[in-house]
Amino acid sequence: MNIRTLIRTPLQWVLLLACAVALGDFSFRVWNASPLAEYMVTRTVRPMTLAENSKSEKPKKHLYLRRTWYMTEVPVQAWLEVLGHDRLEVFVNGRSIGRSPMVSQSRIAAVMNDITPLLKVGRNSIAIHAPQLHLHRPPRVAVSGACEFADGSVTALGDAADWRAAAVYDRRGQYWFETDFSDEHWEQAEMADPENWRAQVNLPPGAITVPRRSQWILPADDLNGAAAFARSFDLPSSPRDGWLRVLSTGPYRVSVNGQLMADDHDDLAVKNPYRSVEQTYDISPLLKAGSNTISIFSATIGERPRIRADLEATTHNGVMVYVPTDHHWVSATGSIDDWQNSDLSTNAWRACEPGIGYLGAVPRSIERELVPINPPLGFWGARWAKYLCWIGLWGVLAAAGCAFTTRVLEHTNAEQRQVSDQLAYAALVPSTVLAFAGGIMTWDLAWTAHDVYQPLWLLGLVILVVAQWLLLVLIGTWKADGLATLLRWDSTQYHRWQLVGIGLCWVVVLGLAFWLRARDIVAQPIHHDEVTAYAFTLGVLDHGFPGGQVDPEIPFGWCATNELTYYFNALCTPFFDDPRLVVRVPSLLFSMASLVLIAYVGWRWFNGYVGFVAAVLFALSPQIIGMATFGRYLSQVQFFTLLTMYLTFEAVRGTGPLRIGMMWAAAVSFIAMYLSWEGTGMFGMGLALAVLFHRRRHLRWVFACPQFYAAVTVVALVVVAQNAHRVMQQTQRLWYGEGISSLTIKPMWRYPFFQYDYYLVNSAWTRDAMLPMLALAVACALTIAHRWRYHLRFSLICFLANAMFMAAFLPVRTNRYAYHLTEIFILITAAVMVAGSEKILQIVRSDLVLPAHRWYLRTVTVAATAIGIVLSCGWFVRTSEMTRFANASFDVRQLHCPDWEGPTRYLMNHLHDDDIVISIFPHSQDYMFAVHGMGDSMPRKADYWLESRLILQATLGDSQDLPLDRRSGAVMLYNLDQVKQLFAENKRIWYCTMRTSQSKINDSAVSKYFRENMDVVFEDFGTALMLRDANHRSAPIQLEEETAGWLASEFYLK
Amino acid sequence: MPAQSTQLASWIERAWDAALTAVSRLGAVVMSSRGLVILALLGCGVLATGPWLRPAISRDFRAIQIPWTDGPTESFLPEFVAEVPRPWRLDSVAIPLLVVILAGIVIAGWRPQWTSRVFGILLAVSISAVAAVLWNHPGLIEFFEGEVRERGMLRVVYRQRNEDTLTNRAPDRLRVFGEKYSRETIESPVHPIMAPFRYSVYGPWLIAAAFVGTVATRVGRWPQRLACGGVWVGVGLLLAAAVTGPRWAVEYHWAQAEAAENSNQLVAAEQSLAKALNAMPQLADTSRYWLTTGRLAYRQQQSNQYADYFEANQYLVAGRLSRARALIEHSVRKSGGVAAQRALLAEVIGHIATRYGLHKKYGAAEIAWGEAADIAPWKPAYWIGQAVTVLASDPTRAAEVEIAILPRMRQVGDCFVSSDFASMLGDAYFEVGSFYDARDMYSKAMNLFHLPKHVNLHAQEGRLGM
Repeated sequence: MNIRTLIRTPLQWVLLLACAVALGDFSFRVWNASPLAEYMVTRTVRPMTLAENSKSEKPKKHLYLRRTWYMTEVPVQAWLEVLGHDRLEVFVNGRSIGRSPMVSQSRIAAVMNDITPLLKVGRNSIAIHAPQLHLHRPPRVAVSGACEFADGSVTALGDAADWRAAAVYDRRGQYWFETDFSDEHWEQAEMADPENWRAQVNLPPGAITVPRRSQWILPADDLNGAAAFARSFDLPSSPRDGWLRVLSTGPYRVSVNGQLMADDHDDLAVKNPYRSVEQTYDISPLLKAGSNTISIFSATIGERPRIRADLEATTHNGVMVYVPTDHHWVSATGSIDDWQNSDLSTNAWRACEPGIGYLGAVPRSIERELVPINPPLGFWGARWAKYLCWIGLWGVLAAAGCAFTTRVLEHTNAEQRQVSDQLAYAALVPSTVLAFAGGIMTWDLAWTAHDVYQPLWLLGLVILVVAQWLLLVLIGTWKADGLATLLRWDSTQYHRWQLVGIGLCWVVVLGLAFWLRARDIVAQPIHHDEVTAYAFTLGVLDHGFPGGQVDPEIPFGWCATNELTYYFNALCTPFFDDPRLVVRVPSLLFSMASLVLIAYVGWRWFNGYVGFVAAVLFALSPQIIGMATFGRYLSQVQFFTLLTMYLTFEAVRGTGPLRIGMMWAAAVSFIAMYLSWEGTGMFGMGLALAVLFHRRRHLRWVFACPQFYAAVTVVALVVVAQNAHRVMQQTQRLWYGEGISSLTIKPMWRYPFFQYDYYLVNSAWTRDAMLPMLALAVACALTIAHRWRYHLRFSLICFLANAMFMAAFLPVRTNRYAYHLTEIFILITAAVMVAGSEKILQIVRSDLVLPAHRWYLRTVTVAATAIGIVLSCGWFVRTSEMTRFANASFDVRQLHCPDWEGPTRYLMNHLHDDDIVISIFPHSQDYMFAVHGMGDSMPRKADYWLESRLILQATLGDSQDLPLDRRSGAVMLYNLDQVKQLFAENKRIWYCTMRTSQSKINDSAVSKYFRENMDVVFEDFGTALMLRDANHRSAPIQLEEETAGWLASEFYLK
Repeated sequence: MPAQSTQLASWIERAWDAALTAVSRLGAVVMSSRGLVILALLGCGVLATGPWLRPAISRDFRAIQIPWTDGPTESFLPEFVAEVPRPWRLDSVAIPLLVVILAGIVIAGWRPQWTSRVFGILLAVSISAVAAVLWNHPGLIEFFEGEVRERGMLRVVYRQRNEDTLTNRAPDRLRVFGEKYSRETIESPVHPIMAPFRYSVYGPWLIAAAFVGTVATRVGRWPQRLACGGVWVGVGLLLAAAVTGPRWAVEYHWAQAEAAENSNQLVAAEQSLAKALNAMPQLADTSRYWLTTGRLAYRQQQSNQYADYFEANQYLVAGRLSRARALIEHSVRKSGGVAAQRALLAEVIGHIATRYGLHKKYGAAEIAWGEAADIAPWKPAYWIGQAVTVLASDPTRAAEVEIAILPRMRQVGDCFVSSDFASMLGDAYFEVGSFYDARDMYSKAMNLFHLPKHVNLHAQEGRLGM
């Protein structure tokens, strides 16, 4: 490589290298199976769902399914495959067999397992729970499975007529997932319309579903209890996948095509010959087209070793080859040294002796394990070498193609010689980006490597490159003025259409953004934090400042955080009656204002394209859409953060005197930002650092400006005043315990859970922060010499310093604390994307480029940018398997507000006068009572607040020495004895709780007591209503519940 | 008066002007290219002396405490170096780094055009230093792996006392450090070459910082900058290969031994293993060597201490503790045993003690913990387990435990374990009615760890008398 050429034209080399890596990687994966087991299950199903009682009733958020049946004998093989959304928990005879991760919208979860050892003679049960986690997507489940018996008969497990359904975590003595639970009162499951479902499982489905047709085989002779077994088989074409199941009486090693993939180091001395464990391996990466050999070496001291194995391989053409252990296998006795690579036709290898019957390992007792293969270093070395060869091959091919195309272009159009050598490389961009996108897609549960890495797609990528080269040559050859004239429009007409196009694009983006935010503004129920926000909003109307008195026992208190937020809410009260709209409309409007602002800043600081790309990412971001309909300070603080950064830069822009107007505007914006959320104080440090760095050679203008000191003083006074107000409010009376309100900064790097990049990853606009982090790294590189370096440096210092300061000093970590940085991150990413596209477009700067080539390059860059937006916007690709860069942002239309509406309605319909109501969020419950008109003169209130772990601070009442909830005045239940006393003194007790969050503030003894003494009567998203009525259980039943209760605790009131 | 006031105004104006000039210049100097380079080098200095290895329980190992390699006379083995205070060593990996950094600070002020080379040298030396730390001390890494398992034992012991202890509720500090590793990852087997990365802390940060410094301070276009960085990385890799050469020889021979073993050529495997031992003699004390040698002996149905060690280890993994103890104990009792044998026996006895505790046989558990602590005194988990068991069975001995054990808790780097131990002492004092001492201990526990949302519940409620 000529280093001078490289330095002169680095773009060509970058494009060539990127293409070689992307296409090389793609090609390698097409013909070399991944060692990661990923398989797609595809079915047309009629999923089961709950019968809807009436059209007016909201669909239930939980689906519980049960099937019970009797068996007179145990099956030789049984398997179960459950598909559904949005998450699955599956139990067989009371034991959990799998729990899927949460899947995003339009994805299907799957649980698949061998259930043979769990089935028994008599009554058997399968129980499934599927909760709803996304808007407008009620839970649905499809089941398939089979029990195969020794006589060949098969019982299907998926028939919907056999399944019963319910909507609550039921318990009638037994828990709902236990075999002996009586489900007669459950409804028949209803079948929905047919749908095509695809879901990913992490094991070869055939390894579970294909019946065991193998026989035990023994070596022909016995020598020291050791023997090798082997078999050759042919694959007609290149393999796509393959699996192997092995059952052995002794420790064993397995080799496929001479590559040792499983050794016996772990159980050599302790292998239990009486415990049958069938180990399953995904051997896809070890298979090859043509002749394959599998060898198994086993040693059993004192007796002849015996094995039983099944192997199945599938080729890309769909040909399946099944190889069971039988008389076709050969064996060599003793510890022979070349058992992995031996010639099976020699005399050392003799036919195996097939065993008859189960030989002590009855199918129902066989446990199954999925074991990852562990090939030696040589295997990985060869694989890497092959990988690099593919990259090299594509590098050479692409370079040759580009060189040839360049030569042809030069030949056809000599005037364009200076730039034509770069044009050919631009043709590599679309295929490179698409191949990269394919790689990203395999991290999504919707696609596996088998779906993406197909020869057809590879051919498509290659054709795409070749077609572009041909197109370039064609354009270069066709010197007819017609095309040039066609593409060289009249400039007036062109500009007119350009303006119309730009205007239309902006209308579409703004309209789409507004629609995405507004359509679900009341779809989510009110959140308990929104209840507090609404109360403070009313405080503004009543007192002119947010505050209020929640209970006569607790004195009047002024709001000490987010003070400014409630004034904007108050402005909405004349227009809306619904409290949700009062607190959410300002968020929506601030989000739209931020959209306009980010577009403006992108345009002013970089160019119009950056503004547009930033606006599109901002408009589509699921996180920002979710937060825009959440009635708290977040959208507001985000707007003021960006505004503050913009105004500050404009104030210190250049090298001369400060721009006073901008500086004061920045100060006001900072104050608004700080009063929206005082946590943004740390943004000020980043801002100061950015100003110092930007003005590092011209600081005198800053320090010599008296108004600068005045503005800083005003800001400092507001910060001090707010802090003093907060401290005074918090020390107004005694608080028990420590909570988030008593947060002070600490050196977090001294604590074990210090995570330096937490706020960087969590400031991404989607749940998958890999691409944003990549953009961040590129942005850092651009700060060195790019023409946008000054703006990028300023933005990056503000962003990185704030994120790092928060990680280093904030003892509390929450995703939303990084939300005010998200729009800065989007702006930086948009600048990176456009800078990359511009780099390619620099080719057309020369006047010598034909207009058609100019249009071609623009199309390429727009397409590449569009693919980048599609990949990173969070709607189309969800890399949920890439956990390293996962964060806690909102998914598309994800439910995030616990729904108290349904439980409260149920409670209202069944509450007696002398009933007791305990709540985990008493203030939220009080609000719901008030909204639904509970109580005659005075609204009904929750009586007790259950918090047996002192996580949130309690306070003492004015007239009695009882710890109270600060938010509602409800009396705190702080230990099990109090709970027991309450249960002894009262007949009917209701508990409004959350099935998982309950455990954060309650210890397991209290949770267990509630679980054992109360029944769930209603469930909604994240919430549950429990009742203790006439449901006392006798001691024997309580004893029986003990075991199941431990399992239940994994899933309920943990 | 007007003249005086004019003079005063002039004086104030000049003072103000001087102050402005000074502040502006100071800011300009700090934010100048040289200033930023010096700040970056100082940051590298902090990283070079900071923690580079983090065990699950013991205190972090700083770069200044870790030698390049085991010297011919002085061995850097855990039984000698695990306890704090650990001396700063002249043969530590940090010394050349600090020299480069100090020289770099001078050069950055004197010849700023050489700054890129300073960062390049720092990059090369830091790569080799990190490689030496990760691969030249296999015994130390095995000690860390043992501590991960011992941390699991402590979790069980603390949970027996209270479910709200931090040790029980919070995952250990390795798993939560940057949330790099899940429980499955940290407990899953991994090749010994990759294992040290689990315990690595700030060493790789120094490499990243030096690389950024090299690329950022090199003047030129991007290919030149990256080529410069690449060259220094290459130099660093060569240095690293030279520094860790014996380890790679070991891995080569070990791979040969494993290949021979898998081909049932056991004598050839033993010969390869002997070559590996020649390349790095300190391997003789490691569990890895004992296990492989023992496995080969077991396959050949030989009866020796290596085979016993291998079998005992397999029985330990399978949960058959009595058999495991019977196999290993006699070797240790007879000859004292090497560190690997002692560590294995202590681990077996530790598990036995945990089981005693689960069955509330506190007397037997205390004796078992004591035995384990005697056999492997460099491992803090055992004496902590013993002390917690004593407090559970006999709270009146709280004062005795405090005097004997509390000073030793400075050996412990895991603040969850330390904090919970103070809470246990507080509980014991509370039970016997020494409320002042109990409150003191609960306060100590909260000082060690107590954050909003990560509340030290047990200590907090104890201090509140709940």
